[in-house]
Amino acid sequence: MSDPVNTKTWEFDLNNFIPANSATAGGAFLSTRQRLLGIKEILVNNGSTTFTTPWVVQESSDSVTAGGIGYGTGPNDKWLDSGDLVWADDDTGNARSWTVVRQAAISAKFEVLIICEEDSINNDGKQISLWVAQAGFRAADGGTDGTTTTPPTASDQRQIRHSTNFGYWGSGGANTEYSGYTNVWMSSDGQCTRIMILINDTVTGAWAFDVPKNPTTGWADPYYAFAHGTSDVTTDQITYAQVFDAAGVAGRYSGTDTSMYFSGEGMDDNVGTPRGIGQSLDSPNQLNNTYIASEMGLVSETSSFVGRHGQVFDWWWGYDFVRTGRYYPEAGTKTFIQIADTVMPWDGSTKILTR
Amino acid sequence: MTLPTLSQNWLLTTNQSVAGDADLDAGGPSGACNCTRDRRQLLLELVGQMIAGGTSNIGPGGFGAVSAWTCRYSCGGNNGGALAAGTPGDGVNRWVINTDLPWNTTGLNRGWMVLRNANIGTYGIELLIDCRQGSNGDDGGLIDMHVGMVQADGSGWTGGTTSTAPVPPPGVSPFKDYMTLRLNEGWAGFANNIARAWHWNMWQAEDGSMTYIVYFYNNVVTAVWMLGKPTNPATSWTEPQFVAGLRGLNSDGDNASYMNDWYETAELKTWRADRISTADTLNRTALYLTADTFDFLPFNQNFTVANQVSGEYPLGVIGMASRESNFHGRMGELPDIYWGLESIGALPGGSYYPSGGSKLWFQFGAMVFPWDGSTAITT
Repeated sequence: MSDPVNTKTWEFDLNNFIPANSATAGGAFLSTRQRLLGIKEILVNNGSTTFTTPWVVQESSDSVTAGGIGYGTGPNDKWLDSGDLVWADDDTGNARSWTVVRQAAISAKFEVLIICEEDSINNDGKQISLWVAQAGFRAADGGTDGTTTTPPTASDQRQIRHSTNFGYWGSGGANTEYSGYTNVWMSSDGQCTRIMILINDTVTGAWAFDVPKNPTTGWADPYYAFAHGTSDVTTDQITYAQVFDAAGVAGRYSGTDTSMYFSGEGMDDNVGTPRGIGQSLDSPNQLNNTYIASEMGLVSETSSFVGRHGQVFDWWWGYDFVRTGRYYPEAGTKTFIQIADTVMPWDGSTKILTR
Repeated sequence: MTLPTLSQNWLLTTNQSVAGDADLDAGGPSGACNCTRDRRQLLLELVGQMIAGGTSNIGPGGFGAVSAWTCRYSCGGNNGGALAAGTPGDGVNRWVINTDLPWNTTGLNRGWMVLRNANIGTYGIELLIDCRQGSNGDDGGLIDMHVGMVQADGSGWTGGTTSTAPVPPPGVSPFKDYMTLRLNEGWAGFANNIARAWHWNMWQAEDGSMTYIVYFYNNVVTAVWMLGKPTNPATSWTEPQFVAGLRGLNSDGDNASYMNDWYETAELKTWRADRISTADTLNRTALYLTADTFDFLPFNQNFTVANQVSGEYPLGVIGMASRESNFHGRMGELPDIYWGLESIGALPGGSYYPSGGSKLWFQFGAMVFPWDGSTAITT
């Protein structure tokens, strides 16, 4: 089929290299702390990043001091270097780091809370908790303020990663550290942010915080989000298995947590099982050598939210036999790129680094 | 979802009745018919409407005459006379009344019909309908149907007598440009001399590019025919861009899930890109119908209720894709028909869109077709 066409204008921050460093401090490997710090830095335009509509830090904790815009003391952003990211056991009330970042282009107070905590502290930082909310993570907005030992809450918070339930976020498996690259896509209007962590030729982390395209009438302040991560460095994230076969996309509707799938064009796989067309077909189109780029839909089977609820902006299902890093077109404009089983916008010039 | 709009003008012929009649008409033009009168009447009416075309009556507007199929030649009784075979291009439709098209086994007197559609492909497409069945106990429930490409010199099916069907023209491999849709296979339900009363419906694109035929017996979809061009065909799909399918069981058919068979098995046929084989079954290739899918099922099976936020019922584009060698890939879509929720398509009743009043679309089984506002008769 023809190359797809972008709806939005995309901005990129690509190939941010984090070298492996397993020096342990603050309950985590150094390079894992640097990797998570780097994501925050890119989102909020610190350093060289120049997104048109960046995220904004609201409050944070460096495990010593907590506070920010909504309450407390000190600067909003207390994550200034990797030493400010301190992991702790999630159920002991130990001092730990966390941060709240806001993207008002998704909804007025759409915020992501990242907490440096693990089910039992493993001194590697490979798990986190991650929540999203639209009401604000602070008492003034109906939640609770955070302290160094107790992260803040929001009245409509929705957990995406859970430290007690395999909170791997993309920094690889436990107890071993890896070099890798962090890539961030952000639409110029701020409505869509996607983060892909590449380690060892694998998409080890795939995060998205988006407004849906053409949302169902009646779905107020729609958003969807996920932050998939693998416990190893060999299992790609953002695959058919994660969000096409399973409800791996989170959202909220009418005060209730919902789960969604990324649907796509599908067909029988010749042995009686419906699958994605990019799974069932195992070669490019034999008439014209083109590759699949199938529109992603948003569907849910959650009670009271059953139905098809829109599409995904500028993100497509591709062939599952194509490896991360193939460009579309393969030479020349390189307008799109294969990332795991999907096709995403690309900047046309940067060579993606995967290992 | 918002109701779809038609991409082109269509002529609809809906709710046409064929009365049940198990009379075999022994002593007709062939001497022995071996087909119940109701099956002959059904095929007579379908072929007659394919030829008649008519005037488009739904669509974007600017209506004109439908570019219909034409009779190129035929074998029949020509209004009750002795069975006679025409010559290629004589244009004589010898199927006038239902005794004109007797059924029989190989080598015995029977009717056949060659229809041409000049609107598809570089030179056109021809459909050969042969009233042949494997044995004389089958009573017209089985049939042969073949499709052929019209050649550059205008030739197509040629020859044929009262006891033999036409063949491809000289110099053309019988399998290169020709393929079989039905070979002693069901098209109108298993007979056993039992009467069947159908209601049939036909959709003809104004430009002649697509013909859909559906008939119901006793609130069951007996068969679906699709003959025509896909929309948005894959680039480099050489002419003729043509797909054909006739999904009709030897039994009386199935109900709602029946339509999804087109998704689960490759029912739609076309030619393989290279057509280099000397065997029909190798040049003929198959396509699955595709649908928006998740969680190991097409959306119209996963969902059993309307969207719980908007209250709307989803419709989905019907694509087509092949896994066959030399034709592997997504190849296009079917024009102006959609997938609908299987849970609301069961007959009797089916579903209309919008649900009250204008009835612009009618769903039976899992598929949604353009409709003319009438109440569909399915039994």
